[in-house]
Amino acid sequence: MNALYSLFAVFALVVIALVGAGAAGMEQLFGLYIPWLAIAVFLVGFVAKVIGWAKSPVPFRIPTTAGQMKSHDWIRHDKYDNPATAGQTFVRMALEVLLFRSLFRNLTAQRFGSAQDGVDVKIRYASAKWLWLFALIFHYSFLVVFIRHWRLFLDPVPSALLALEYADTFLQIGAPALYMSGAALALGVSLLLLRRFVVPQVRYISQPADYFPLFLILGVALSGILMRYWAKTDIMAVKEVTMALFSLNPAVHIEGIGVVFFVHVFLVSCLIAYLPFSKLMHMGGVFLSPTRNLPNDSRARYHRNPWNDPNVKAHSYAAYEDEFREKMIEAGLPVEKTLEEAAKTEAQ
Amino acid sequence: MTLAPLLAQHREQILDRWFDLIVRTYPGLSAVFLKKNHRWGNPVGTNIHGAIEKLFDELLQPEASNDLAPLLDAVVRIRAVQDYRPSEAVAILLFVKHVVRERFAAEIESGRIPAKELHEFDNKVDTMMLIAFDIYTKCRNTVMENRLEDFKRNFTGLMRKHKIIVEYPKFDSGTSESGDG
Amino acid sequence: MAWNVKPEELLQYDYKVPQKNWMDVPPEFKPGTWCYPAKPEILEYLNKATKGDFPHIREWVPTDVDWKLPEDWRERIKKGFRERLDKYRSFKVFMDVCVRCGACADKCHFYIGGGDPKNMPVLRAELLRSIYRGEFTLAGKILGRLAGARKLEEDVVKEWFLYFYQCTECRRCSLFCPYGIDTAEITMMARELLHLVGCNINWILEPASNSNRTGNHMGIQPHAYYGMMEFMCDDIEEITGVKVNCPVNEKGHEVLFITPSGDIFADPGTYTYMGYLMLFHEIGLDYTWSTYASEGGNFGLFTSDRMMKKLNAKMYAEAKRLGVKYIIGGECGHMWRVLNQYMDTMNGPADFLETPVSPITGTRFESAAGTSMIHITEFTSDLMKHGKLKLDPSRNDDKIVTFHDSCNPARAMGLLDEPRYVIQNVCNNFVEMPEDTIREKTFCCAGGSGLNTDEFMEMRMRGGIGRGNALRHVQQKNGVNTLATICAIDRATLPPLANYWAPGVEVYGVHELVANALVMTGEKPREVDLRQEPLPGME
Repeated sequence: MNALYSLFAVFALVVIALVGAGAAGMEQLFGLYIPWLAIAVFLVGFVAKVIGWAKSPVPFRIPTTAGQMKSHDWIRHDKYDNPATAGQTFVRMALEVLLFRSLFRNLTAQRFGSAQDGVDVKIRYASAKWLWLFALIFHYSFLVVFIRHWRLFLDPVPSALLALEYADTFLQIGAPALYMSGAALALGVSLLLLRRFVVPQVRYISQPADYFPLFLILGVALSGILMRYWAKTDIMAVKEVTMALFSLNPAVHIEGIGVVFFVHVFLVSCLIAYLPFSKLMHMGGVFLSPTRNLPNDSRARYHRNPWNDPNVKAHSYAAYEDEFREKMIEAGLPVEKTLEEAAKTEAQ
Repeated sequence: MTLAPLLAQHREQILDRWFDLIVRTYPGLSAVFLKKNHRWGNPVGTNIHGAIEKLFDELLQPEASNDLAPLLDAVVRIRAVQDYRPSEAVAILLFVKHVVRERFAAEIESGRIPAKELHEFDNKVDTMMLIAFDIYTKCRNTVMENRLEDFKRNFTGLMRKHKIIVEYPKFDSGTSESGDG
Repeated sequence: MAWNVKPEELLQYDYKVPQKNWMDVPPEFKPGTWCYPAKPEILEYLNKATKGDFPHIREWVPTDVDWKLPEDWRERIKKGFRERLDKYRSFKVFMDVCVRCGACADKCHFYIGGGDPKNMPVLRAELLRSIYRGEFTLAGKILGRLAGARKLEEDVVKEWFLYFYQCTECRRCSLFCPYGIDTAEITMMARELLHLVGCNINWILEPASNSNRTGNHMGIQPHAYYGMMEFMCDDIEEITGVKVNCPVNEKGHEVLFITPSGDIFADPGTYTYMGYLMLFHEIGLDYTWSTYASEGGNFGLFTSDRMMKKLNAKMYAEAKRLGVKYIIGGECGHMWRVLNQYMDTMNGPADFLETPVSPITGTRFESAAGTSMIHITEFTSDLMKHGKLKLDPSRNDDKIVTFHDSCNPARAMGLLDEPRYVIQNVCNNFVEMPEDTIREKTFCCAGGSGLNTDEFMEMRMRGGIGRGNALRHVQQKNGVNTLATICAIDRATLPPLANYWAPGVEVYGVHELVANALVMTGEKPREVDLRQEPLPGME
């Protein structure tokens, strides 16, 4: 049900683009003004969100330690799972952001049976390995696709981009040559979607907000692929639009570009405008997670809590002794004040 | 002599169906999880599956081995602390009867499986149930005992210290006289 | 009821947990799955001691239909929610970034053992997140359920009470989360919100209140506490022939020693307590105990940041009063989460203390330069590495030992190899449990975060299956009969767990094992161990 709502929503967006840019001929609106608006919403929304997060302080250092802490020199310190310095924490974060280290933790091979038990040793993997793999395929292909698109905004196209494109079409399948990243992106999204349908626990926790971005990205990928391989689009005309987009030049006249292009651009616009208000903000949040981005060093050096309340004080020793003085003296425990002294203070 | 070879021959299918029925007594969404062959991540599924496999083999034997009770224990001990009524907790052992009847419906109908053998098989499952009932009761008792012990443990030191309870010298079989003189 | 029951009919309860959206499943309070509410007299004391942190005191039971919430309960929760979002970046980020990938789902011991979907960490957090979206985000206000938002109803409060007191704050899920979302953090926030409307449990607040008033969580008065220590010294003398010193509340020593007070009255913790006394006597440590700060554990961690700070503040206050140079902390789980991650920030800087230096080996503990507080196994492992202890591990030869990593030293500190080193020096037979159940991936005892009460036994056994399963495995395979721990709550929760899942395995503190093996100067030939059981070869 949740998935259907999301699917319909994405279909509706496609229809809007088809009708708007196709039938109604509002190319200017869909090619320039909506993308501008989307980028503006994205920038403002993203910055606002990150500032919102940053405004809340990190009162305590609460890293989740995932290995041996720094201890005696003769105990091996698990530097990148339990960092003690900023540099080590940086490596931990890099592993987390670039290689999805925590998801990879699920990847441990499970050994079933052993030679001693007289059973063949079998290796099995926990299901989360798939999650790690799908996530990796998805995010990296998305990144490559994203970088590749910069050829539309840069003139002349930098050689690094050309090299990336060359690598991406390395397999030389079809004409124009297939971008592997595009195929991988569609595959990655489909796998992540499939996982939400198939694994009951995950289906149970999935909300429309989980399906919607997946369908939306799938729509973006498919419309892009469609444009490149089937509904061949005039790339020069497109570049004219995109250059206008980036030079903030509304005067450009848009014509001779197929409607698929506008569907593609509209879906992308929706995606970037939606991003700051959705779970997709995990791309920013992952850097701010206090259980990952702090060293485990709060025993070594002092950290300040900005809202520390100095009025929260221990039940004082004096009050404690007052309550139990007699019994303490009787038991032979040292006290600060004798009974007579205490009586005197009280009398005052 | 037709049921036993049939059971042996269809072992895998019967076990699959039996486990499937058991898994369905858990909230639907954890079914895939329970079937995961992950001994440390999925103790409930792997322990129950491992036990019913061996229980099934026991059912094929003319005499039950000493393993029968421990195997039943492995299943019932888990069910006893999960969210089930007592009947629900042990009913999963009965399922095997129904699985067999379901699978060999035609053979039973046509009389190719003698009633006597079927009756014997049922008897074995019933025996299993009776033992399971004992184990279930024992497990629940342990839970209650644990509660009591938990409560007492907080004060054991205190009671020792203040000699609230009397102490007896440790029994030593080497030196003490035999009770029946 | 029909006589001829078919499997399908037996399976009717299949749908007991409906396939409905979780938001439509109301909480159900069954015996054994919830803890008793705090007693009004306890709350009254605490509310006074904290100047109003525990409002709306009343008699109530979770099974009541009417929870007698304060009239303005919605406003209280909304206001409290907003305040906490502004105080904790962790809370704010964790409310926003979850993608519901499900990596955490099967990492929770309560979910693994019971299968209740709301015990999946992701859903546990959604219980709060759905309210966050409904109250604090635009999309949630407009789209409602489509955006995963819902309204704050009385059932939500009941659900929070049920499920946030079914979380042991063990942080196993946070280890596997790609964004490090920490359910313990979320549970803490939820519990604080529940305090605002007068919903809390006795097993946490009575110990917290006792710790505040008497220094220890059991409410033992100082003379009785000291009496118990003297009694232990007598026991030690009886076993070893050595009269150990027992300095309490004395000024002018080098070290203050603080350990959880659960170990003074409750077996088997008492033997660990005796172990400390013997070790410190043997090495001639210049130290003192304190009755005022006799509780290492901090039930405030399970209550609120203010309560945690208040209870923790006693340690530095006492260290200052007694004029020690640094503090050694005993074997305890959550105590070390507080000491490692919160203490210095809350009650520091401890500039009146010095960086700990072992007086025996001269080792400087730079990693504790700020708090000036070291863990007993850091201290003891250093003694052993330098060969300063005379040990006879054969006295533990009747034991095949395995080690249970407690959640907090493992995942909030990383104290993994020190206790292992200590155990391996005093026991000849040591085996590890399976890799996925130890070290940072350790399974909880299912009684942490103040849930180790007897009325919660059902859930404790259910959630204990992860640990129990691994323990039974090494029991059957390697003949393990001893489970060593460095946590007082473990020493209380693991005996019943072992009794249920791996009967025959006994629970030991690490320093009890040390004391058994410790050859003391002037001791008589030992015949029995600390539990007065014959030593191997002496039967």
